[in-house]
Amino acid sequence: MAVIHSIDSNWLLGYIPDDLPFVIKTNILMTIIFFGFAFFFVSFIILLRLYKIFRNRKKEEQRLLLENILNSYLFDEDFDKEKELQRFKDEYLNKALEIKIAIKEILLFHSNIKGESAIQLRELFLRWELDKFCKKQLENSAWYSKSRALFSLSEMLIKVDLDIIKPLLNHKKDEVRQQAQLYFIKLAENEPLAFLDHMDKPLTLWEEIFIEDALKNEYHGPMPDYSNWLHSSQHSVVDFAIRMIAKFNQFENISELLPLLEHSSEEVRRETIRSLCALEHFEIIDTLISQFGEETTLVKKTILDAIEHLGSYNDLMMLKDKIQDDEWDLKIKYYGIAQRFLPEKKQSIYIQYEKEKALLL
Amino acid sequence: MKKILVIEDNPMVIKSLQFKLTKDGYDVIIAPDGREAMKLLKDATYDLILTDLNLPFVTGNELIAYVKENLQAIPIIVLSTSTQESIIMDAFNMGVEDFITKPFSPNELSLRVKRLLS
Repeated sequence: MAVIHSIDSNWLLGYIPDDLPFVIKTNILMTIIFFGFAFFFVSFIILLRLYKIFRNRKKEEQRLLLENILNSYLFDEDFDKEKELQRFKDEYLNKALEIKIAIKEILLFHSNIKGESAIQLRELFLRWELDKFCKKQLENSAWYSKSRALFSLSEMLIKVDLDIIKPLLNHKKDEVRQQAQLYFIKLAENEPLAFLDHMDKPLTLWEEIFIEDALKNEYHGPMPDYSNWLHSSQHSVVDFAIRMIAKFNQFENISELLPLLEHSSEEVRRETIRSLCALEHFEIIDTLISQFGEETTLVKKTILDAIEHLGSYNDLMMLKDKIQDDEWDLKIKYYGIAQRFLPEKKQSIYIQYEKEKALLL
Repeated sequence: MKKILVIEDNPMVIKSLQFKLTKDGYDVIIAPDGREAMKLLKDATYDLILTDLNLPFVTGNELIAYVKENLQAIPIIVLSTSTQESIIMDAFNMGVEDFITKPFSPNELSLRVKRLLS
């Protein structure tokens, strides 16, 4: 009401006849205010739309210009590189939007072609000083610009002072951290995983997948010795290192893995068992059998899997008495494995399971 | 002037191939999908076909089969992102003359085209 009275005292109610009842006056006033808001709202949407259309048109024009100059630069022997590239830079690479489109277009070309032309694109990236723009974005921009800048620099294999990249390894946004990790891998000559020593945050599953993929496809140096990270303070890094030892068949690291069977982290112990299994280290069976009683349910399940993979029916039998009466998950798993060891006695093992179940229930 | 039919759906690759092959002195005709390529092949003759495998409407393999059955004389170069051995072997078994994987080297492509057309 205070708002209505203040408008009344100024001008708005002056246009409404005085002899109308208060309710009608209020209704008219509210209608006018509502239409005012609606008008501004619709105008705002139209303006936004127009801005977007204008921006998209500008982007398309810039993209076409770039497509032409890039094709001429790469494939036209008569193209005057010095003059034309400088002219393009002076005329069309002044605003942030123009520079961003140029980076995007060069990266698009770079992802589709290789050989001499790809090298020329990198030279052009540097000649137009797009690397400086990216470096600036690493320091002052929003997280998504940082992430894009890291991607651009790593794709173009442009080295940046590592003191700028290192803090980004612990950035609060996953995307930035991931791009920082990929930057290290792509630009590394011999220590692609050195960045793991600088990480304070745990590795996510996605990061692990991307790191593994980048190591296979982007890194061309010698494979790192993963045992270097078996004692990292980050359990996720230890897990990753254990997994990679198995993945890349680093048999020489088996002796480094064995002490981890007694690690304080349940996940690390499980990963160690899985990796030793994958490396077919049969000697762990006795240790696993003796350790079984003191383990958590999840580790016990992993041990049962390991016995199935590496052991024999006799090894499995040694675990039977170590499974508690209330550990039904383990019992079911135990009998399942027993049936797979002795397929000819499948039915009698099932009957034995049913008997035990009846006794306990 | 030798005529090359380029069948590709990536606008950037189309533009680059068109630019490069035109500069090399060929007449380049573009088909953005397999269906359009079939129409063009029925209406005119070409000296070489450069095709992707993952195409809309009619796949690259269907197109290769059609060409090798009806227009045996036209050599085909496949330009594909696929590096899978089985896909490359299938293409050669169908009778293609060459297979280039993306990302590709434009200079290398130019040489391979030149070799097939000489």
